[in-house]
Amino acid sequence: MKIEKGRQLVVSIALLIFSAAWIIATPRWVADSSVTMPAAPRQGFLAPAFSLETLNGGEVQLSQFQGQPVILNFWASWCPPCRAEMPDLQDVHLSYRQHGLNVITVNATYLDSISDAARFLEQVGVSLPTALDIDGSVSRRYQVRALPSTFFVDSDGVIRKVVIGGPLSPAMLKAEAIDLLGVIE
Amino acid sequence: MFPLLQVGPFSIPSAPLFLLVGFWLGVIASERNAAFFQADGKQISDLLWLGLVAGVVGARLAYVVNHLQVFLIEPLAIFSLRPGMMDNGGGVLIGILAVLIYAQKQRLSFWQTLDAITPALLLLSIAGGFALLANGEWFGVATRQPWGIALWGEQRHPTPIYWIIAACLTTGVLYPRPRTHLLGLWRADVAGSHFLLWVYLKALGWMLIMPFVSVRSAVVAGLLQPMLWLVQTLCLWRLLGRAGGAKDDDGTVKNAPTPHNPNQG
Repeated sequence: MKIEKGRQLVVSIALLIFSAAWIIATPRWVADSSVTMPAAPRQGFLAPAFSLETLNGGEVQLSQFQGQPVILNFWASWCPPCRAEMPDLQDVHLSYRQHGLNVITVNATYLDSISDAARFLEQVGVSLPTALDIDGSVSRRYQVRALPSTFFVDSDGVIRKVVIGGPLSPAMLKAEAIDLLGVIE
Repeated sequence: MFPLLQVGPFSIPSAPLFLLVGFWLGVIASERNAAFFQADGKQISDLLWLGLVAGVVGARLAYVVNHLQVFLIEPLAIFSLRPGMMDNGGGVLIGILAVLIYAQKQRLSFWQTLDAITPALLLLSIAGGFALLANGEWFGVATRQPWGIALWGEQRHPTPIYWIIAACLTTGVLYPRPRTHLLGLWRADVAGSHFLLWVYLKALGWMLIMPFVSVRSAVVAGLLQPMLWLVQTLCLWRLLGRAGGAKDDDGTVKNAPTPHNPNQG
């Protein structure tokens, strides 16, 4: 099959001119896309704000950790991987809290019960700050579709990593903690 | 957005599932059509599966290398099956490297091999669009168009759907090989044309969609479009050169095993 090279050249040039014209004609949309992103439960977005009661009767707000990295873990006492990773979350909290790392666990209380959650934490000797998502509003805001779900939030309040499922490896928790905190000796 | 598929008691991440199914179908397609590109189907299949396995292992290795201080203390954690310990960029690089080494060792013709894996790339690209849609990634800028979708707090251009449409159109034109001369840009008897056309159409599709994609860095947005234009230019230039009788790696102009029939499936 013989193809006329001259025709091919004309077609190629026409296509490239069209492409160049498209690029020149569309900067308005590109400029529009550089606006700040809203808070959303995904990597690269600001972590959605929340305020919840804690298991010990206090209150925890995400905004109170402004300027510090946070590991946010959604869990329930009936969920085996959640139970398996809880001691490792406690370990990473104890190891890195002096560097400014915060670990907050959010119990999906709307799927669990406060007494079961408290009993489990007592059994495994975990003393992490535990928020109670009684009506499920924070889980909905974070679009939690499976337990456990863990959000790694940097000191600017931006979500750096989301891990759905578990249990998380202790090595991975340490690696991510170090990433969030920067270089640690 | 549907990041998880619930199958009974199991929650399966949908994006990797789409990619895996797309890859699997792609390998079958490439294997079946390899003969047309004068490649061995078994070798092409082995090449692609090797790339996948090397990519997965490489993603873990890249993660380990990036966090060496932790894994030197806990080396057994390298083999952990727990989630979250992958570096996707590193995995892609190592996968490509493994494919190149395999191709070199098997003395596979560069352009014929690229042509032969193009059917896999076509199907994988469609699967990639579904994976983006499932994860809510590569999302669009805000819009008031009636076809906008609610995502991340706003009505947005459904750019992953645009991706899927572009990938399907490209597949319709190129699968398993171009059905027409495609404005005279393709020749069945010139090795590499099929792959170059795929790259060209992919770059063209991205360039058309990019203005609707939400890119937070104006610098990145400003650089991507000219880069895509450059890729198109290089592809067309290369296609022109090859159609003019450019020689293949081994110094010969390749001929297809059967005369190309434009109406052939």
